[in-house]
Amino acid sequence: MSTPSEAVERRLYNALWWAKVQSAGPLEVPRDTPAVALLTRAASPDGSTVWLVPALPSGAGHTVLDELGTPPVAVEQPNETARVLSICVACCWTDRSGPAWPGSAGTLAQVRSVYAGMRGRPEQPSDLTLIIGSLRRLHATHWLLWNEKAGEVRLGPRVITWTAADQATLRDLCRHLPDPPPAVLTTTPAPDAESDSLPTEPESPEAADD
Amino acid sequence: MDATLLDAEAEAAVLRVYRQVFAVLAREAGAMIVDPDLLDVDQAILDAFAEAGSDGLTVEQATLACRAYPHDVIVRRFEVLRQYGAITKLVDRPNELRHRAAFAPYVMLMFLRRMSVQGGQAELHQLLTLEAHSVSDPQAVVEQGEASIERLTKVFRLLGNELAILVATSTTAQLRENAQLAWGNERLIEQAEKVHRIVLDRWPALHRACTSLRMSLAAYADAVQLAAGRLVERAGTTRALGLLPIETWLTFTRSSEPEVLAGVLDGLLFDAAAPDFSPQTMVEAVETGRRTGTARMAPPRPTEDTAAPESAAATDREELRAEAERVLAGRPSVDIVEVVDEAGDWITARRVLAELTAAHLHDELDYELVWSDGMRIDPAAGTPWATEGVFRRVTR
Repeated sequence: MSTPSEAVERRLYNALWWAKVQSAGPLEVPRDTPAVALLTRAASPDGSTVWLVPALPSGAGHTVLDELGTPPVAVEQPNETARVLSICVACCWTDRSGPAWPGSAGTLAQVRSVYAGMRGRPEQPSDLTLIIGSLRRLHATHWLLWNEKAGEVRLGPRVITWTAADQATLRDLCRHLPDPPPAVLTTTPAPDAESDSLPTEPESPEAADD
Repeated sequence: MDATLLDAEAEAAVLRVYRQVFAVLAREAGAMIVDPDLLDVDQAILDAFAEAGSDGLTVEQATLACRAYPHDVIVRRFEVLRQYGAITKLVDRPNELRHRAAFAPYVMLMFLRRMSVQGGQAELHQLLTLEAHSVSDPQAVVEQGEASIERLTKVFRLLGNELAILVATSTTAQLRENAQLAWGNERLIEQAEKVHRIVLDRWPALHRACTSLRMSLAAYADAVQLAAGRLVERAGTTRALGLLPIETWLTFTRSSEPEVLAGVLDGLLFDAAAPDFSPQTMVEAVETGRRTGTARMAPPRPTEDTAAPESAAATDREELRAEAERVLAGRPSVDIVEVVDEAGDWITARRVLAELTAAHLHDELDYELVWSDGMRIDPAAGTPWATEGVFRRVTR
């Protein structure tokens, strides 16, 4: 049983984390941080840290802004950014039978290839500028984790807020995008299971055709 | 049909009550009021008469009693009420100053006020209760039961029709505003079914009338479902939002104190403001991106049929080559004047020249047509004026 003081302590604890999340967005914390009410935990791929992501009740999200006719939070080049996010989902969500989080790491080369494939034309010099800009914007808002030095991208903690219906839509979207070429990772070697399965996949010559 | 004086008198009595009842709604004799405040004036006048007792009131006393309102407004309403018979002279004689008020207008006024709050729904509930009372009365006869069932059938048909028409023809905003009809409908239907059950148990012979009542109830329920479905569909995920105009919510958020807003948001956690990318926007963005991509691509060419246009071009080329060889006739070059003269008239010559020009311009044919400055003039020739030049083979 929790004594009143414990309850007060817990509320203060929650309030502290809420204030942090409200000012900074999703937070990465050590694994042993106790649970916080209304914050969803998303364990990072290696399990050492945990992302705390605010979980809105269904129906209280950005759709409300639409219904109220209020402008949403502005983002530069919204369409380009949304496209790059879709492409990263296609690259990083390799096991589409499971949830999108945590996904696997994708590379900038993959993103560029899929981008050119989606555009249906050879890659142009301006594409890279657009892609890098979008990746940075998405990283800043925790939709993606973009490691600029290594040229690698992962899905960000915000993707755990996608519902089953959202994931179905995105699965469909991934099917419509060109298949990414196999990832060639530089920094963190992929787990054994992944590196084994990649060369056996028959789609590598196909992707090269694009 | 011969109307007796007695019938006419009865009709006149009914009409008199109707006129009295609608007096409170009349702007002037013959027109509806357009300002709901006038109802307050009417009520004040009728209140004054209620206070006055059996002596009645003169116009001056009435205006004095209603001094909260402008004098001329009171006088005008008084006149209207008198024209409709809601206020009559105490004794019907010339120069009678005192007036009395009928009670029917006041009943109507009360009724109107209640209708305006609930859109007639509370009245319908009470009507249903009354009908249930009257059909369960042990003294009631089969005709009363039938009349009651028929009335209910008509009420629900009108209700259902109104709602169904609204659903089919109006915008969502209109539907939302008029949707009071839809709320609380289950209890209405339950009550009507109760009346229906009582009637059917007591007088099984009325099953036909009861069937129409059941049908009109079902139609009403369907209309309600349609209306609710349309509202919910437009309301999106936040159903409660859809039931109030958006402006109401915006006004609430803008004008509320921080404490009130905090109370509403208690238990909700929002993170730092961040752009949202819903899967739908992502799909749309990819779709539009793809579209611009295809717009820039070259028009699709079939890969298989390169042979067909090739052969057409080839026959074209061979025809030109044959013509050029015919003109040259084995020589390395030929004078244009000679060619023109050989052709005879200008009509033929210009066709030959056109073909030689085509051969000259053709990528794959090694002929050239070179014009020089001279001009041959010979009135006897088929083409008297001919520019000099040569048509010859070249090696590329």
